[in-house]
Amino acid sequence: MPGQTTKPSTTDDLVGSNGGENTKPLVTISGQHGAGAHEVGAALAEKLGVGLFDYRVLDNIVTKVNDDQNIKSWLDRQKGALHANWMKSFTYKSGKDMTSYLPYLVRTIMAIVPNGGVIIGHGAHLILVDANVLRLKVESGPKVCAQRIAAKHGITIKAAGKLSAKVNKERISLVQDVYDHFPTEKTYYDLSLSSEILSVDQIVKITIAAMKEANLPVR
Amino acid sequence: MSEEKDMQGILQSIIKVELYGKHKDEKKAPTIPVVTVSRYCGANGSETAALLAEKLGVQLYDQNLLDTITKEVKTDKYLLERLDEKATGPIDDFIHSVFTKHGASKDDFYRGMIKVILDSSRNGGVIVGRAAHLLTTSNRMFRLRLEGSLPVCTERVAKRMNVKKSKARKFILKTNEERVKFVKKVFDRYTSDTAYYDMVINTDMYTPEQLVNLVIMTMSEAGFRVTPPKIKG
Repeated sequence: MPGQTTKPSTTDDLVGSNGGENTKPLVTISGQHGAGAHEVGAALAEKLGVGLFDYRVLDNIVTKVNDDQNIKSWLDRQKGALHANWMKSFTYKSGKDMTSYLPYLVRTIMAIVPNGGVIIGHGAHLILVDANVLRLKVESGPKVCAQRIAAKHGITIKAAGKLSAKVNKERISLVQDVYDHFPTEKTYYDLSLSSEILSVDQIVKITIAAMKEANLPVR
Repeated sequence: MSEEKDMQGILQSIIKVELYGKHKDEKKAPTIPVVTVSRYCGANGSETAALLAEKLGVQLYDQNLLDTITKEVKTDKYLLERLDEKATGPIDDFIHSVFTKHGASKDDFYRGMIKVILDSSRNGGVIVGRAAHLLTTSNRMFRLRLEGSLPVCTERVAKRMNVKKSKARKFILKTNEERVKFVKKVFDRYTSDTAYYDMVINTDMYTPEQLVNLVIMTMSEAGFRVTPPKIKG
């Protein structure tokens, strides 16, 4: 569940990290609302022994970062190839407010890298395109997503469909903002699996196998 | 477009009757490996598909074989009788030029694809391209897409065609654009939409052998009748 893992999922853990490249498991997970990305993320984080950074946890961290000058300063001091790349991306784009949410979201995600983690959404798959990461997408069609949301929240399929569309629109907007800073000719994902034909455990198993085959850290 | 949708509807009906008429519960029926492989140009799609067919012990329906079948299917009276009940309008020049290089029409293309899907449903098969994954939504078919980053695919194509990278890059972009246009025009879908696939893999990170192992593992987990590969770890 969000925030319940014992691995780093707070600003303290981020400040304790040493910056640079990751030697610990790092996975980004994307998916339509209702596709099961969160469930897969939680199971994967537990299996890999790393923190889960879902929407709630990551937003909380970014908010704290914005409010804490010490953490801000620490993040600003972080160096390394990844940091340099995204810093450059902000400097060549004009008209963006450096004090806004996005720059500190990016810095926070960069700070997660050394300790590893499973990061859900937030355009992390674009930000970390050059990291030792597996970028997973959990996929389901809109009908299945709506059915799951309806069952989870006890609402009608129609209401679930509307809710899903609204959430997806917000997510796409954020990811578009990220993409504006991180345009890439690389693929957006390394692996996309259908949660219509695979269970959460099966997706976790296949994802870890894919990480091993690609010589990505799994422990 | 409505005529095309009519044709697709007939295809779906025929395929379902032929494939699933004997099975009351499709999900519980034995699953013969039928894989559709959609690919980004330069993603090692053809090589991986061939290896996958070999490992699964099924027929590979690649571009050459599909073209041959498209021509030969004109003699299949069973399909012709059913398909000709609906007119499909004039041949689309674009599709004609891009995807049927041997004088076959759009109708021939559809007929050819039906034959391929029916044949493969009985004996298994790996079908490369032709948007075969959109011809049926059955869960008896495993829909795979192989992608790759433009720089990596450019390197591969330049080496394979023995041309400069700039030429390879242009070739890739043109080929992919044609494929996207075809799928959009015929099926009103985008090739890049991952929702239409069961599995999409970035081939930058893997050899064809590794890709095949991961695909077969995923198929095995999804209930297809395959022998699970040995994955390291």
